[in-house]
Amino acid sequence: MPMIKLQSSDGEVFQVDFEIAKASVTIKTMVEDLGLEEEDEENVPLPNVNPGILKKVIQWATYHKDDPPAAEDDEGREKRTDDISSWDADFLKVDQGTLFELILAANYLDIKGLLDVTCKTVANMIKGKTPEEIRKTFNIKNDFSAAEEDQVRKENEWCEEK
Amino acid sequence: MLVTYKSNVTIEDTDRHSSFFFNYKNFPELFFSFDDFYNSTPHLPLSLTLTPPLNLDVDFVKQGQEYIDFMSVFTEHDFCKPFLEKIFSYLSYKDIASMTTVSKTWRKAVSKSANAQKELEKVFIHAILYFCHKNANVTDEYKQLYDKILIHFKNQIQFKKNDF
Repeated sequence: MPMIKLQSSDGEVFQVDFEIAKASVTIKTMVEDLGLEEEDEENVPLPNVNPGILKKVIQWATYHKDDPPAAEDDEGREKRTDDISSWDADFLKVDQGTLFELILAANYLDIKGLLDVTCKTVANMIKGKTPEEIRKTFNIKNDFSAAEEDQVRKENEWCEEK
Repeated sequence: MLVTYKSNVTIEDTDRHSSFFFNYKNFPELFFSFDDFYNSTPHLPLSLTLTPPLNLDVDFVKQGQEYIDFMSVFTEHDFCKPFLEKIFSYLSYKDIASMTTVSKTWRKAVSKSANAQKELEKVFIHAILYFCHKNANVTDEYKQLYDKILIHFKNQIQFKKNDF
């Protein structure tokens, strides 16, 4: 099975099955453009991805290696966030810093499935919560003055549950 | 150690926050803006736009805390707009309305997002359709919203638009 060497930001090299690494459009394109072949000793440099995150990305891609390609975004289609598999949900039980880095890595490596599921996880951290609960989740300071807060609350009266 | 984009100046870990603020805040014109770069090269796919900017280093973003204010960080950087739009695309109008009262930055995030605005407009359009044509094909949820939206509009007339 052809293997590929991925080099993280600090120089650590990860040997990965090319079929798995291909989940990343960026890596696939780089390999094709550079004309890398199985016996090549060349590393594929990924200067934006630290080893911890690259390890997580490889873990995700390995688990999802047999998945069909992620569907293109369809504006008309209702987007769900309750369809995250239990494996992905467990995989994404990480601190907010790791989740943030996974979003950046998924974008840089162009892995749509991983970007979708990480963004869904952030959306789920907001969904159905009151402003105060959201502030608590992300440790956000309420910077509205009392008058401003009163105004925004009145603006939103139309969608409050009564 | 991190390397800034254009200057290739290396900044030691211990100094990078203060150095960055000193250099960027005082002399922003001397620094390369990743957003400017991204805007100037729209033909490049997102995946080929080099490294994330210095201030998106996760330790910098976290500012020593264990939390990340995702929406604020994504609002500040043009190249993060697709993440912002993606997150909004998963949220309902209720969630989006709730987000406008979290903080001023979150309010800005909602006002800057095409998906968030579209979701809110959809609700208003359905309500107006129902108002104009009582038999319009709208769901019960929207019918129930209709009264509230009318009150909302009445209230809006009384409040001077305050863009804070």
